[in-house]
Amino acid sequence: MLPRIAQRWLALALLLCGSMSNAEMRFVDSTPGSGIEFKAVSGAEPGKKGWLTEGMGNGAAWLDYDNDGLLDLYLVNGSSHQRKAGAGEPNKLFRALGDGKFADVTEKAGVADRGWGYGVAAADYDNDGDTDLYVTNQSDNVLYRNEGDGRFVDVTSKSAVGSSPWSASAAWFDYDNDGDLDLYVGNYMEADPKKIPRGGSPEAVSTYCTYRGIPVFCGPLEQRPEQDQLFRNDGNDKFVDVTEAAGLKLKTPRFALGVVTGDYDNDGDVDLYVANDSVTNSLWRNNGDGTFSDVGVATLSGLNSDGRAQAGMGTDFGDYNGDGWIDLIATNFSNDFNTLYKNLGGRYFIDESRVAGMSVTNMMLSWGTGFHDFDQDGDLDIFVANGHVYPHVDNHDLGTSFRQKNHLFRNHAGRFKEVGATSGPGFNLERSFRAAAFADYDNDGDVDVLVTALDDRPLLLRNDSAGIGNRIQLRLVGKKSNRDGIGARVIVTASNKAFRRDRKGGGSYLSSSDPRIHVGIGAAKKAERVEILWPSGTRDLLENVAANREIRVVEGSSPAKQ
Amino acid sequence: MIFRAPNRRIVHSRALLIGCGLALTLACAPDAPATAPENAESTDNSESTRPISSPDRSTAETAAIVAESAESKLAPLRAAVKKNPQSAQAIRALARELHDLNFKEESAAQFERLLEIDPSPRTLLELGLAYTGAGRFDDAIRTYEKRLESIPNDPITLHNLGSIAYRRDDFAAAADYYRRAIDAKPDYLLAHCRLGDSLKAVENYREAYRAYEAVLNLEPRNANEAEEYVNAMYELASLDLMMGAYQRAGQFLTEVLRVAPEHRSAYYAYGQVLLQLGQPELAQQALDRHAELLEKRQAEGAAAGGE
Repeated sequence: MLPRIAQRWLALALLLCGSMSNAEMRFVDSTPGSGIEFKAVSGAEPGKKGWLTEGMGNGAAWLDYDNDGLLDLYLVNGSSHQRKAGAGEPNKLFRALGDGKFADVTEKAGVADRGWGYGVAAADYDNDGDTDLYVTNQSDNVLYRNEGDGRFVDVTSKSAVGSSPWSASAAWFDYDNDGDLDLYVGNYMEADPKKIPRGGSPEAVSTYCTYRGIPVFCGPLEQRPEQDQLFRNDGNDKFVDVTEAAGLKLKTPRFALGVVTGDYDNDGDVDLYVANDSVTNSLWRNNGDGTFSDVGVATLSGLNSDGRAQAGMGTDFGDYNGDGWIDLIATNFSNDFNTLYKNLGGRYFIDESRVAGMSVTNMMLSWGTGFHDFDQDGDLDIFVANGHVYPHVDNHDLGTSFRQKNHLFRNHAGRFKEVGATSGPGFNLERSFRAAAFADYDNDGDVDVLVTALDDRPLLLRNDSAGIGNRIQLRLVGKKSNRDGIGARVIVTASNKAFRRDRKGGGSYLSSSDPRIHVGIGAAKKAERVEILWPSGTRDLLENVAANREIRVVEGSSPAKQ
Repeated sequence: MIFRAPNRRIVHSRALLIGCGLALTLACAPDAPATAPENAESTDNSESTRPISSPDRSTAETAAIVAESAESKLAPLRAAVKKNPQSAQAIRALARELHDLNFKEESAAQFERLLEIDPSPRTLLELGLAYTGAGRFDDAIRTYEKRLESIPNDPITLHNLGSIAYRRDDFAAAADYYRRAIDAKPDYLLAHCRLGDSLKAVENYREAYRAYEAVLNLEPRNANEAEEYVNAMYELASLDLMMGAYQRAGQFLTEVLRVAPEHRSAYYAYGQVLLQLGQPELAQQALDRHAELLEKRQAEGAAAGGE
C-alpha cells in the first residue's frame, strides 16, 4: 500500500500524462438550418460598450411548452441604454418541429417580453401540467403562465414577483415542501448608467475601473449590490416575498449571478447555492422550518482553498465522484480556475480543483456550466461556456481574447481532463459565450448543449458521439410533491454500481435545462434498480429497467417497500 | 496583514504543532503595526489597489470627486513640465504621479517623452513598468529587452519579463525568466516566489515546492520580502494540504500564523488540515477565526459597495 502522499503524487502524475481512455466525444454546430433565427443584443456593439450591463449576456430555456414530447427553446434578449424601457429586442420562443427543426412561435405564444432580459427559469409553478416561464430583466421581471393551449398569459402583476432590481439567474424549488414551487431570484447590482461612470472615462479610470491597466467598464466591487429575493408560492398565482422571514436578507448583498438548488446534506429538504461575483458564494442550508442559514464559509464552499472569494458566474450541483453526495462547480473570471468543491458527507466541502484537474489556470472567463454525463459512461463530465466580459482585451496584447472556445472536462474516475480540442468541430468555434442550457433536444438519448453568445447568435451543440454508453432517462411527474418533481433524488443501480442524479432547480447561468433525468450507465443493458426519493418523502422503486428508453414515473405509482 | 519577524528555522523545526499550535495562534494578539509592503521601486510585483468610496454617494459621484482630486494633484506637475519641458525631473515626477493615479496610458506617454531626454537604463525600466501597467505588454517586452542590451542578465529586468509572461498565462516562459533572474542573483527572493507560482500554475508541484522551499533559506530584507517569505510558507502548506501531507502542512501553517496572525488564508487552510486530521472542533475554531477576519475585511470593504 502506497502512503497517501505517494498515492496523490501518482494520481496527479497520471492525470498529467493524460491517460484517459474511452471513445472521443463529438459535438457539431447544428444551429444552421435549424430555424433558430436569433441574434442577441446586449447594449452597444462590442467596441462601444460602456457599462457592465452590456457584457453579461442572455439566457436560454429548454421546455416542452406544448407537451408534444419535443423540447422547445426560449431565448432571452436584451436592449441598450439608448432605448426606452420596454423597447428592447423581443425574447423568442422556438417550437420544436422534430428532426432538429424549430419554428418561431413567439407572437402566437405571447412571450415576446421586450425588457432588457438576462435569465429565464422554466417550471410548472401552478401544477397544472404545463411549463411556465419566469424571465429576469434589468428592471422588473416577468412571469408567464402557460395556458395549455399554446399561449401564455403575463401574470406578473397578479403574482407580485415582478418587482426586482437587475436580476440574473432564478430557480424554482419547493423550499417549504408544501407541494408547489417557490421562486428564488438572484439579483446582481446597481444598473443605472447615471450612477456608474462610463468605462474609459477619466472618472472611471481614476476610480480604478481598469483591467490589467486597460480602461474598461466598472466592475461590481465599486457598485451597490442588490438583495436576492425568495417568493413563496401561495397558490392561485399568488406569491409572497419571504426573503427576510426566511433569513435570506443580507446586511451586505452579494452580486448574485448563478443559482442552483439541491439537497447537499441529504436531510430531505432542498438547499440553495448562489455563485456571487467577486465576493463569497452563498450556500443556504434549508433548516426545514421555512428558514435558511448562510453556511457558505462554514462549509468551505463559499471560498476557494486559499480562503479567497472568486468571481462566481455559473454553478451546478452534481455527484461527480459517485459517493452519493452532490458536489459543486462554480465558474469564475479569467486568470483563475473554475472551482470544484467535493462534498464531504454533507458537512464540509473541499476545494478539489487542483487534485481533480480543474485548476489549470487559463485565460478563459467562464460562465454557464453543468455536470452531465455526455459520454454516458456513468460519471458526470463538466461543460463550461467561455468568453471574456471586456471587448477591450482584443485591442491589447494580453494573451487573451473577447471570443473564446468552450471547454469540455471529461471525468475519469473523479479526475478531469479538458477534451474540447478533440470533441468535434463544435468546440472549435469562438464567440463570447455566456449561458449554457442542456437538453436531449433531438431525443436521441444523449445530452446536447445550447450556448448563448454576447451580441451573437446562439450555438446549438448537438452531441453526435459514437460508441458511448447506455442510459436511463426519466420524466418525473409529482403528485404530492410539486408536479415537476424538482428536489427529487434518483438513485440508479446498474452493474452493482449506484448513480445519484437530482432534479434540480436553476443551475448553470441564466438558464433552464431539460427537465428529464439522464443517467449514463456505461455498458450495462439495464438498471437493476431505479429509486426515486420525492420531496414529499414518497419513495418509488422500479426494478430491471431496460436502458435507452424514456420512462415516465408518476409519484407513488411504484411504491418502494419500506 | 500583520507581520512578525519571519523565522528561518521553520524548515528545520521538528516540533509537531498541530492542536496546541492552533491554541497558541488563536491567543496571539497582533503587537506590531501594519507595515505597507515597500515598493521595490522597479520590480513589477503588484496590481493597483482600489480607493474606498463612500456608501452615501453613487459611484459616479465618487468618481467625479476622485477625478477632481487627481487633477488637483496633477495640475502643478503639469505646470512644471509646461514651464520646463526639457526637465527630466519634472517629467519623471508627472509620469510617476499619473501612474499612481491610475492614468497608465498617459503615464507611459510621459515616460516615452522622458526617454527621449534621458535614454538611461533607469528610464527604460520605468517605461517598461508603465507599459506593463497600461496593458501594453509587447511594448514593455521590447523596452526591457533594450535595457538588457545595456545590462545583460539584469535580474530585475528578467523578473519583470517573467511577470509579463505570467500575466499572459505563459507560465513556462515565466519560469524560464525567473530562473534566469535567480541565476543572476541567487538570493533574489521575489524571483524564487514567482518561480514557485509559475511552476504551480502548470501543475509542476514538485518543482514549485522546491522553489518555495528555497525562499525559506533566504533572509528577507524588507517588509515586502517578509510578506513574500510568509506567503512562501503558506504555499508550501497549501501544496502539502493538496498532496495529503497534513501534518507538515499544519507545521507550516502554525508558523505562518505565528508571524502573521491575521493571515486569513492560513486559518482557512488550517481548518481544512485539521478536518483531514480528524479534529473537527479545532478545525471549527480555525474556520471561525477565518470567518471573523473575513467579516472584518468585509466590513472594511462594505463602504465600497461589496464585501
